[in-house]
Amino acid sequence: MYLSERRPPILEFKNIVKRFGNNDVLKGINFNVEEGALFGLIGRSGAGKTTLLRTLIGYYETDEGQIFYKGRNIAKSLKEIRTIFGFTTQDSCFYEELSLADNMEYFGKMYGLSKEQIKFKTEELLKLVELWDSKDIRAQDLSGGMKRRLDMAISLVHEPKVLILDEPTTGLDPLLRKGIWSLIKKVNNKGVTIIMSSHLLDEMEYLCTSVAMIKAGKLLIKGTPKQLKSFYSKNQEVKLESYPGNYKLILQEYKKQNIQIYYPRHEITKLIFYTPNTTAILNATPNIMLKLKEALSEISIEKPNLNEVFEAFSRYN
Amino acid sequence: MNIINSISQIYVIVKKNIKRLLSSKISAAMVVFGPLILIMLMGLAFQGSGFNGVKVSIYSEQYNNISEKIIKTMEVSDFKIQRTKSKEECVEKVKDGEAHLCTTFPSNFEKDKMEFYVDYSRMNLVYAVVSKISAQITELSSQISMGITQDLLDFIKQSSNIMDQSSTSLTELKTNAEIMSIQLQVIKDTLDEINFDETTSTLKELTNEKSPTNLKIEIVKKQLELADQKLKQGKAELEEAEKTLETQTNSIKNTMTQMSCTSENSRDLTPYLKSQELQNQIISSPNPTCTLLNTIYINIKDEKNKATQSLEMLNNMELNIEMMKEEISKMQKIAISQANQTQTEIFDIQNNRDKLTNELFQMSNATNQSATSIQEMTTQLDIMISQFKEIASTDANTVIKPIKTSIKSLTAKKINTLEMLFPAIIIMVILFEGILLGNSLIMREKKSRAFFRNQILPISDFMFSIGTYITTIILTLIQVTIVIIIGLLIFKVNIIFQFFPLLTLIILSILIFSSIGMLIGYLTNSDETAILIAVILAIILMIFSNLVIPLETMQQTIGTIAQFTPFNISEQILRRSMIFGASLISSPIHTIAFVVELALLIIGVMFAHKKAFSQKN
Repeated sequence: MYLSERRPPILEFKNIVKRFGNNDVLKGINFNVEEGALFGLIGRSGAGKTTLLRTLIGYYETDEGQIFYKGRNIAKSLKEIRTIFGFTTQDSCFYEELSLADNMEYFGKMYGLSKEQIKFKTEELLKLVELWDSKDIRAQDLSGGMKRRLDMAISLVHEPKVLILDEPTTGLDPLLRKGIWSLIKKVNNKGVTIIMSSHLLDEMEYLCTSVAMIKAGKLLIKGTPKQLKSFYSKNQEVKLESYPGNYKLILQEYKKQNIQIYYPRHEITKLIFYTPNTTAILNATPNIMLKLKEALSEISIEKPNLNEVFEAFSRYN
Repeated sequence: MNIINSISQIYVIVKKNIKRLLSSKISAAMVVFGPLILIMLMGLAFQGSGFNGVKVSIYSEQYNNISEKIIKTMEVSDFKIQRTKSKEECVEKVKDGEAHLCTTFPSNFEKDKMEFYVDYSRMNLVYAVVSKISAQITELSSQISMGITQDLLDFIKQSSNIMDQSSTSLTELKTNAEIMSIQLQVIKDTLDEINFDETTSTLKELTNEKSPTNLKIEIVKKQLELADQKLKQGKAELEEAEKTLETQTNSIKNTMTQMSCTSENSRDLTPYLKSQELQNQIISSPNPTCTLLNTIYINIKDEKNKATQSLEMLNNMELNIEMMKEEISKMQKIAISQANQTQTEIFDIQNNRDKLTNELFQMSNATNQSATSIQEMTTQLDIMISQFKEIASTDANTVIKPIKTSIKSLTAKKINTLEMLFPAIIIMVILFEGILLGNSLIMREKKSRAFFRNQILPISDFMFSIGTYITTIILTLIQVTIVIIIGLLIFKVNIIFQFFPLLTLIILSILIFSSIGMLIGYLTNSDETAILIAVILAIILMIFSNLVIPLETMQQTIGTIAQFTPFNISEQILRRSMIFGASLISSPIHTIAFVVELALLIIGVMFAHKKAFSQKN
């Protein structure tokens, strides 16, 4: 399902199928990525996001289908394609025993940069990721966020046209995450097409100009976050917190009153669910609390975010 | 440009590898101090005779010259000798670990055995010690055997000489026997030729009274009687004539007296009796009658004297005849008696002769047989003599050790244990460094967070392998250099230092062992497994090398295969190079095997690398 494609594609995924043994990980994925886009791949763990990204870089061979970079089949010009792509993972893909500068030098050299180019790019990128002052310390001594930034700097050392970010903020605290977001924006602003995957939908919503949702190796939907949310905006997210928190009974009471409840789940001490009947929820809740002898401490109703859209599409499909 | 870029990239890979390895102080220290410690330990351990500190407990009911000699020899070889009071104590010392070996010496070496009690759980030490002691005892036994053998050889030589002489004597004896046989035959023939028949018949005749001889004797006797009778008859007549003549003389005498004849008027005209002058003489005589009478008287007297003489003669003859008769009778009797006796004796002689000839015949035959036997003996003796002479070696040493061995060092100077082990130490360093470093570099790379990024780099798959090889070569070369420098400077190791062949071999060895390590790294998924396999493999290579036990003592197939392990090949080539100055291709089969193994391993590494680093399916 394609909601809109305005600019010419830099990447075209055509019917990508990838199998590991009898397990079909990618089941005929088709979509395009526009040049300069900050493209997000949304999907749960095991949905095939990483496989798709690694197939893009040529780490995995496709069993069926082709990927085209500006019209060129990447499988046929892999070495050249790899100089165009940068790749950052949730792991720190560098040598922790080496200093930041050494890592930059090493990977710069591997991409065929001259000594001078390496020197220039090291300074430029480490300054960009705000690690210039730490250039001589060993990478293993960096914090998690710094490592992620260093990884991104390394991914950019050869000035890639496309930067692939595989869950770049996983495991980082919100503050560090925002720092990475900022960096991603900066890079994207330099004209680098970014394809990133994440299961943190809020960052996708915040960062991406375009997203594609995949589930079990299939593309569910592709479009801008706004388009996706509009497409599925009839539900609103309700967050409820009460004591002692017998949420199962509370949900039963809502259903008894014919209130539509979708995708209920527990998140720590809260009950989260989606409903188009927000007024009914607000009217029914005080009585239910009294009936069930629950002490309501918090209730909030928000418009659906990308996460809700994803959940909805996941269930729907 | 690409080549320069590739070299530059390999350089950065190597730099990265070394930096990563040396990022740990312990790793860095091991690169420098590992070989240092190894060579120091090996150097200090193997500078002695090799048996210093090996304790041997000994026991003997009664020590003698031989056992004391063996003990002295063992002491010279640095064995620590512990004399014990009983066999049990001697064995207990080995069990308790106070001694490495118990040796019991018999009181009588010719009768009883010398026994070794060993702890086979320490096989290496047992082999080394028993081998050393056995060698010493063998040497001593050889010396004793040599004395005994020399005596035997001397005896054989003397016997040979005596037999030589005996052969000559036997030849003489044979000749004598043959001569004797001929002589005996001749004697027998001669005896056979003696004919007693005529004698016997003559003797028979003699003993027979009626035999012609006896009859003739009787005739002789009768004739003698007749002659005697006639003689008596003639004697009587002669006596008559004598008497007559006497009467005549007397008559003439009387006449002459009557006629007064004297000697002056009576001449003797006898000389003229038969002459013409008789008459003249008679006439011219003074008294012819007296002369005539005188002459007659003288002649008659003369006749009478003659008759008297004849009579005497007849008497004598008579006596003789009588005597003859008696003698003949006696002789006849004696002859018969003697003939009888002689006949008896002749019979005896004849019998004895027959016996003798028979015996002589037998003797001759026996002598012939003896000659034949002597001939056979001579032949046998000659064969024995020639066999003795064919015993080429008369030297006891040659008999004891028909194949003479002499262990001579191929080098001008005798090499010590450290020098002997020095090439193995170098290869050992290369083995462990190559396998462990190769394995470690690959495992670190695989486990590195940068592994994924390296896999999506736009470079050849083999750059990392080449980088790993070069890293291993550099680090191992540093270690080998340290080992060589320490060996040369501190332990004064006497080796032939051919720089380029040595460097080539070391680099090839590093390549082969690091390939093994890299393969292990590529084929395993965990550090623990990789290290375990690497160590086990390194230990296997060490165990199946000459360092532990000689390959030749292993089961033949295993020993043959083991010869071609990379460790043994490289150690062998390096040893030849360092000790004898041999070239790297002095043993072509080993060099070829080495190169083939290296090529296969490199191909394997490249294949494994491609599988690990290239696109995943």
